[in-house]
Amino acid sequence: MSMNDDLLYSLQRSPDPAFARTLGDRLHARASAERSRLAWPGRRSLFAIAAAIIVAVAFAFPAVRASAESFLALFRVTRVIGVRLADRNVAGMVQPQLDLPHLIDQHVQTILDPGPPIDLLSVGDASSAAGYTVAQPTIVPDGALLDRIRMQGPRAVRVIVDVDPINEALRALGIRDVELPRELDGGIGFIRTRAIVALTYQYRKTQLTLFQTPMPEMTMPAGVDLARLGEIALRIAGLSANDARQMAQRMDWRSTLLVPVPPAATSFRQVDIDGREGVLVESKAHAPYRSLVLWPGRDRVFALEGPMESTALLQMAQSIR
Amino acid sequence: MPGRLARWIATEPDWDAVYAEQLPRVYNFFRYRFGDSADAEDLTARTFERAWSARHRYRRDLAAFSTWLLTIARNVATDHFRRMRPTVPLDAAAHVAADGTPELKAAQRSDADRLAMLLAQLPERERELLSLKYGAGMNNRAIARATGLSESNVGTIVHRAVETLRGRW
Repeated sequence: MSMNDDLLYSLQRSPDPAFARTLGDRLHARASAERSRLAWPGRRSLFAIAAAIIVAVAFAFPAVRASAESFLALFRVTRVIGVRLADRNVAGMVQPQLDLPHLIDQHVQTILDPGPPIDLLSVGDASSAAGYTVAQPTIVPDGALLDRIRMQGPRAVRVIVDVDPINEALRALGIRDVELPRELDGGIGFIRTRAIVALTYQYRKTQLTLFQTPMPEMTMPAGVDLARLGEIALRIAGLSANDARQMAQRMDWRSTLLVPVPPAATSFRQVDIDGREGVLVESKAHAPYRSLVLWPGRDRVFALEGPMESTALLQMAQSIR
Repeated sequence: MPGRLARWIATEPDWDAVYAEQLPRVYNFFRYRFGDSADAEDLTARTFERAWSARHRYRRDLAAFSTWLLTIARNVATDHFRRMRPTVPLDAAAHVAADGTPELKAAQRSDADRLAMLLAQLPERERELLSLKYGAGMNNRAIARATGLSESNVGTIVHRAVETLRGRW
């Protein structure tokens, strides 16, 4: 046989399947050990991280606060974007000297407490209690049955901007290229959310749950520099200074909900649900695999989470009316 | 939104799929590079372990994942080469082969064996580039990014190395 490209490629062999399997298992074990240290957060810790971002993306105020006029800024979310949290930044958030829970407690005051979730007997009852018509999927996986309907009431919080600890927190995370300006100090904003309804379906010895809530309302004076605050949020998530600045300047922060994706997530991608942009997050660390999709509807935000592969989850999401 | 930012935000690699796709490429890079299956498995494992530890530092806007991974493989190969003590110097191997010894007769049993022996006689740089091209299946541009050489330089070195192999075939 003459020397040609086919011959040059002829030394290629497939790796021994046993070797491939053993190495793959070892890599999985290594990744699982890392994830147990930075575990797939439960909903509370995920919201705590998001709340920290909201606190850090506090409200910008003009220097002359006394004459500032407040206006109701109704944020109409039309797209949900996932941003992967960098391992080092999540580790930084939980370092003891940062004391993030205390930082949040000190500066986010509850005005209207939602109280504990309540169970309801029907979707109609939930609609009456929540004050809006609860949407439901028209397509559910075979064998899935609506098992529980819960509602948590509306919530209102006052956010007080205290610049020094927030800037200290940024430095603790190794972020030194951006900070909240001094003139924001003492500024006050309000966030009001309406009732959250959760429909839980029993499915294959586990549950899948649909959450929904109307768009949140925020109050702030005119002249808010959302791009500046968004840049800080993206730096906290782990983007480089240059990428955070570019993205912050291009994004419409009044219509975009930024969702932090924990490092433990196996993968995430943008998806289209009824013409609106959402994010799909998958966790394959432990069986059964779980998927979560978040997306904006016409007048509310939805989240659907369950032990199923993404195609079935997205089909269910697309069917919600 | 800049394309590279959109990709960073919108997509996170499926690491299982990455492993399945890249394992044969890395494995064959080492087989071409060092010719021994046991060594190839060991070095492949080291490469993936290093890459997995560093995977969250991988930046999609800087290089394709395969290029990034093969760069790690090259570094593992360099470390291994420095630790190796060749049992037969390349010159001696060529001399022995030319004498028609049992080693040459065994190699002549198949074209693949013969090719493997000729690869072992190449200088290290040429052998590495051929391992990246024909073992790992990289094109010249990707090889240039992984090695720091210019693309034209890669093309020239690969061409000359293949001509050398043809001449000795």
